Amino acid sequence: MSIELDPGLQALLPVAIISHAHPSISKGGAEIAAHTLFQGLRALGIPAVFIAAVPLPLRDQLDLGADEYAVFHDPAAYDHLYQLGDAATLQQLRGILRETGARLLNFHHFMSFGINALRDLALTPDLRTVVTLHEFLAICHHHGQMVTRPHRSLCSMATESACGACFPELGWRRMGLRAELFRDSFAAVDHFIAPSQFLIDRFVQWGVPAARMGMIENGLARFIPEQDEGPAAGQKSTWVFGYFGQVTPFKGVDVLLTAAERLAGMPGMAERIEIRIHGNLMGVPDDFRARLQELTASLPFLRFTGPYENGAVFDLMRECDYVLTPSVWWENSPVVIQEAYAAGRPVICTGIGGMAEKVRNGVTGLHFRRGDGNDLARIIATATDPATHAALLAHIPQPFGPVEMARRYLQAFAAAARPGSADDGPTTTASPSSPMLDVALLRGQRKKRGT
Amino acid sequence: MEPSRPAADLDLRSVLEAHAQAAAELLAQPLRPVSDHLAGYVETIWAERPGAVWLTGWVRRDAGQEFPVVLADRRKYAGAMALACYERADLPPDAHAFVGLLQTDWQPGAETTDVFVFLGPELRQFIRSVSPLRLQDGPGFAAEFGRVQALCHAGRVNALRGAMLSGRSWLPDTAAVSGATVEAAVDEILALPGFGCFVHGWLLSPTKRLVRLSVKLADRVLHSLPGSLYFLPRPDLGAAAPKLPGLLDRAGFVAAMTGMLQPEDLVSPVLKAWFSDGTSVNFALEPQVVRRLGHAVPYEAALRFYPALANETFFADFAGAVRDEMAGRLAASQMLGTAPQAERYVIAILPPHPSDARLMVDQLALRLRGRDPLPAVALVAEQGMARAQLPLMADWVRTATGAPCALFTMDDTSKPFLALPAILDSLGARRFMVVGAGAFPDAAAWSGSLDRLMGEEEALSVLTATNGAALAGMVWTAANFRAHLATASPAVGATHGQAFLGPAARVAGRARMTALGGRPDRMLESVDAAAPAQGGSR
Repeated sequence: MSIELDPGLQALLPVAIISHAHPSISKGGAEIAAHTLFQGLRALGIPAVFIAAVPLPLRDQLDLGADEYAVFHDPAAYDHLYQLGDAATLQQLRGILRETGARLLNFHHFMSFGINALRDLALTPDLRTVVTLHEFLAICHHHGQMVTRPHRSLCSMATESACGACFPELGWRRMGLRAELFRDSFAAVDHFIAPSQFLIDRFVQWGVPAARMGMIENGLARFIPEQDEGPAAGQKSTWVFGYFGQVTPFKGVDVLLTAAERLAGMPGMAERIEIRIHGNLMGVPDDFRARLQELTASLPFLRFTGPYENGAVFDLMRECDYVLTPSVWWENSPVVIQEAYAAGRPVICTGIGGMAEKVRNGVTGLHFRRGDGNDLARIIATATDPATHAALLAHIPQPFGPVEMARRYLQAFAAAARPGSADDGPTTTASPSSPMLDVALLRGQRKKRGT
Repeated sequence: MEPSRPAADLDLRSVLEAHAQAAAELLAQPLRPVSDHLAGYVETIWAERPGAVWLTGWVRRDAGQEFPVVLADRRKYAGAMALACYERADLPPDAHAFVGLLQTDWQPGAETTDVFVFLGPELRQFIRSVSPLRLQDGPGFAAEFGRVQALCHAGRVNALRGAMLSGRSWLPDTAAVSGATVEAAVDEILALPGFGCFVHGWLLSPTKRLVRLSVKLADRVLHSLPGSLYFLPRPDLGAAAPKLPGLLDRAGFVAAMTGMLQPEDLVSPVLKAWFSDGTSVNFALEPQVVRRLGHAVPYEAALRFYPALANETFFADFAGAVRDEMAGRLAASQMLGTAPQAERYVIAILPPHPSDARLMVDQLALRLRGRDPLPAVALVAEQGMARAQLPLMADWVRTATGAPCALFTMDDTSKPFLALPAILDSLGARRFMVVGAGAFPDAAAWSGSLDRLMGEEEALSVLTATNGAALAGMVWTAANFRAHLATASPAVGATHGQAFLGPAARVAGRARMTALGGRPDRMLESVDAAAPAQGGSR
């Protein structure tokens, strides 16, 4: 497979895909997306290297493939408030870049390396940086989820005072300092990519210029099966709803349990449905675990099937009629939605954020109110209508895989490779303590060094 | 001035004084410890204080109860002794037991193994200590005295009791000796070396009125200041004293005491309560009630006892002690390793929060990178978490910038200016830029400050916080800075560096602050307000 490249981009190759983790160590969405892109670039014959941050204590678990590199870091030396890595981590990363000659850097997350590493490389004259955003960590100190502390309400806009209220022990001054650090650091980045428009809108609202942001959906790493047609509606005796993923309150499984309780009280419903919960139950609170065990024991239509192999996900999904995504936080572009589409199944999801964007209500799936088990029960009951199911099946989109993901990224890389790509005027939102001065000076510093 | 003493005590003192004078004339006489003249034994000894030694033991009845004495313990000492005697079943019929007070310069020492007391005026009879010597503590002796005083049939038991209860005596727990039903406890002694202490507690005395308090700490005695004693209701004592409801309304007490208290004196507390009849009672206190102000509790804890402390007559002394103590503490610093000598230094005072400290170092490295010539860097941290990170941060600075890096610790990084002269001396710095703890200058402020640091401007330039009203840092010459401190000492409270703002030139740009100044402390602000005029702001 070959592809014609922009000359500016050609001069910067190989591309360094820089991930905060390696898929042989952890299976989070960001590292899976980064590795999928790397595989896609290689499939297209594009020179690329994959550089992953690996915690030193997990070094023995690492399984590097061809053109893959590891930067070993000490988690204890990392600062999680300001997301600052240590000098040794940056030194290792610079060493790999020198060794490989990579000059176009695509960061998937900055964690483990540190925002300082991203900034320092972005300020390096002969390098170009593209950052793929996977959540809101730059905006929100609460695990990048934009969910308030301690009540877990949705947060629609980060401000110094609002963040200070979430973290009174840190105070609004530090929150302001943190925001300024990230805005200043992002000012040196050439281009941003996000897998959802929702994520882009949030970052634009926060201060990243819209002109420097582009949306590219995550590709699916694994083989995408042909969509089956599903059983004919008239033949159905039981409607199967499947949940896939971590079994945690943040993912809304407790909402699903409440919905199951309501469904048990709906006449005739218990006999018509089956709810399967596939996933890992590690690290959940005891009361949540007890509730899950109690309900799966008392409700015959509710089953907890436990962890599953990633390779089996399409088969498991195809045993379902719907895939459920009841998350109570915004989400961005959950891979489970793309997997459901790849398996040819509509999605029932919380009608917020990235989920609402990826699942068109009444077209490719159904929405329910966030955290509302009664509403989810109502929607599940509605979904058992054969006509509704058939209408949704007709509009399931076709996700793409590594190669298409890589093609789309190459266009973004080419744009970033053009001279002056980061000089796109002021940020769109000037906060009361605007970092404009720093942004201007940082850019001046970069120009002075020869770009 | 002490309240009047009981007459019995005064009478005993004059008797002992007369015997002591007579004994002085006996010192030249030879002493012969002939066994036929052994009149008894000293069984226990309690050295109350210089000049006063209490004894128990037994003595022949014909020896008497008062005499001049000469003691032999490697050399001779003149003295006087008064006894109170009682019967004891284990003694022969011609002897009785005694408790006695010895007025003498002699004190049992570590080398003392045997002591002979020759009884005057003849100095033929003598008593000697049992072997090994048994030294008693105050509470133990008082308990023994309390147990036997009612048994005494000869000698001056009342006078001895008076001596034990006199204002000069610091025998702990004399309530049992006095026979008075006085109960007392101290909740807290807030001590401040250089000033004295505040005492807070309660006292229930059904028959006598409390008029004054004294406290002994180690060998220091402090007396309540006239007018400082006041009383508080203590309804919580109702269950313990159900028959004394009339006393509860003023059972609590607070008093301020002054005296030349040193830090090493804050041990072995004893409270003395003085009553309107001139008597006094001592109470041994738990050592835990003594807390050092400015160490275990903040200075402002004194406001709990005297809410209008700044308006009290003793506040000037208190403020002076606080100021002296704070200034000494703030001026102290410690260098880790060796300091590279350089003319121009950026001194970054790291904030105590580890994340803030990391960010400070990151910003420092970012702003210094690529500058030519480079100033040297000194990182200063408190001895908390940030101290533990110092070597790592120094490595970061050196790796990221190539600048030499020195390390220091100080007591309170929110108030760094008193420690700077010594730090500047050890660095050999002629010019310096200092960034305050928790101050994060923006790019313009960094750039402007570093340019001035590398220049030759003699005048002070300051960096200010985003609000423009707080000091975030400064650039100056070491010589001018020292000269300034010689005429105007920085405040010890939250406005520590504010005087530098005065007419100084402002560096362009601003600094974000994670906190404005040090932790607010009402007391330190009052102390600063009471400071004598010294040139003030520049």
